[in-house]
Amino acid sequence: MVFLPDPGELDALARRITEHAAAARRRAHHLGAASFALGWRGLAATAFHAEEQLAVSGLRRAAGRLDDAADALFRHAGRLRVVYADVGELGRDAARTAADLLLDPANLLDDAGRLFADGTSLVGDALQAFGL
Amino acid sequence: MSGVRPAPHPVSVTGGTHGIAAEGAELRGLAHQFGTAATDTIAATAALHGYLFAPGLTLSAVLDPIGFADFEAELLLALDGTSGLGWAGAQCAALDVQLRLAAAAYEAVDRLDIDARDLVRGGVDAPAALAAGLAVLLASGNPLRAAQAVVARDPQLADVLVTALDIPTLLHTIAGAIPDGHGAVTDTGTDAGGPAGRPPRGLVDLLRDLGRRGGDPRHGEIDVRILTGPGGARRAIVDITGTKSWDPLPTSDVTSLTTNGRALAGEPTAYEGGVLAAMRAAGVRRGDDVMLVGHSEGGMVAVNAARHALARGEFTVTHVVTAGSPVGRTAGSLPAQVRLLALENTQDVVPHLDGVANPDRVNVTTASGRRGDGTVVGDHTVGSAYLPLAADVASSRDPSIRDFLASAAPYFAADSVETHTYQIRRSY
Repeated sequence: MVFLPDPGELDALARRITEHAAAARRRAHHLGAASFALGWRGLAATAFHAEEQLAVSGLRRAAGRLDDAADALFRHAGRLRVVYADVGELGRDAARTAADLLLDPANLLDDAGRLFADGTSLVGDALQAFGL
Repeated sequence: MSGVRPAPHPVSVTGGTHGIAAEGAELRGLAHQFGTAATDTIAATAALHGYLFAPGLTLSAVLDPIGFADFEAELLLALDGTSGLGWAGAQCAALDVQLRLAAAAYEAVDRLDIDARDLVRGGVDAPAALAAGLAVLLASGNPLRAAQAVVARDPQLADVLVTALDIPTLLHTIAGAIPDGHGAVTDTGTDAGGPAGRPPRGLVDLLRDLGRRGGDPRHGEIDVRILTGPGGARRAIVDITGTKSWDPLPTSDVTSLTTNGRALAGEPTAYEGGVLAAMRAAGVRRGDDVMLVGHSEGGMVAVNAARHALARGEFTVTHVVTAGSPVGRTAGSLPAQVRLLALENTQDVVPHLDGVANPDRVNVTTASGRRGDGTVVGDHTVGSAYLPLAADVASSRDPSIRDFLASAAPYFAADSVETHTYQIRRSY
């Protein structure tokens, strides 16, 4: 498994993205409050406040999208875990089948059933990963 | 009608904590916040772009291409899409620049307005003022009274004339040619009478005691008032009186024209040196907060004494109050920790003798109102003009005034006062 991507690393990456989202949200809150408190009136001030609200809402929207991206990465890491679990189960059952082939051939039918179920599960999860 | 106080006259205010300069500082402060947000946001955008190509992530595309593509699309949208993080960072940077430009533009316009206002108003009112002067001349045959009528009717005309004739340079040149000597201090005792014997409770009390000192027949009479507050806290108020001698030649009278010419340009004077010597003699310590209060020439000396004493680190001057003083050329160089309240009677010609309006600074508040009796002298004296103006200012709801008075409140909360009086004379 050492050459395969680590879902834990992907989770950590996703957490860092949520931290960036939280920071952007804090910045938006801070700038919005400071702009609201500004005692500036007039046409230029009105134009400034319109643009300031665009910037602040842009920061908030970007923060929301970063959270969406982090969620997507968490889901991606979760799918990798499922595939890894399928492959692991298949490997264990294959090893048991090999052992039964040598030591207890009476169990081979059951082994074959398990292997078939493992294979079906793996293929199903793989097809889902490919959007099929 | 006893017990009914006359309504205060309106007061107009420039500068102070709610002046243009304060607004400029506020705009720049917010600009800085947007600038910081822009830097942080753009740096975050760059760092997050790196996540798109993280090694572990690209490998994972083989096992879950749909999930990988979904994440990449979401992150790209968050970073580079419409109203994405990169756009928001750029928008913050633009607002930073916009706010700084606005602050600079406001301050530039304000400076122009201040420079032009007195000249324009002086010019507009000049025909009526000259007609009034002519009428007085025809009726009385007295040219001095006629001149008084003109100036009282249109004090801003003084700005036109002062600027046109470059009076400040002329005064400075003449005064510079006359030796100023140094200030000699004579202790004239203590004063426990009238307002001098009571701790001041507000702006009006300050002017009342300044008027009492100014009424002393001795020239160059000042007082140093040592206030003791709750817990033994010490403060000092120094009252500096104005011109009593119009002698342009060398004289021992420290209030003469020599002091005016030098003080107008912000130079140290013998009068100022005497004031600082009197403070030492009265026992004012470096750690005592000090307020300087001056009328007319005394106000110019007060501003300069504050500047020079702080530069030397000798006294802790925190507040200056001037009444009818032309401090437009010097107030702008007061250190930020000194707050100045300049009272100017709009009928009074003396504050216009510098030819420039007081600068708009956070620490320079100018309060103007119309008081006096319509004569040049009556529009300038403490009792007839500046005491009533002080009452108007004390009643004002203007936030710059309120902030100034709040900052000066510890001076108005003393339990006791000891008023030392001194006469300053010029010595060669």
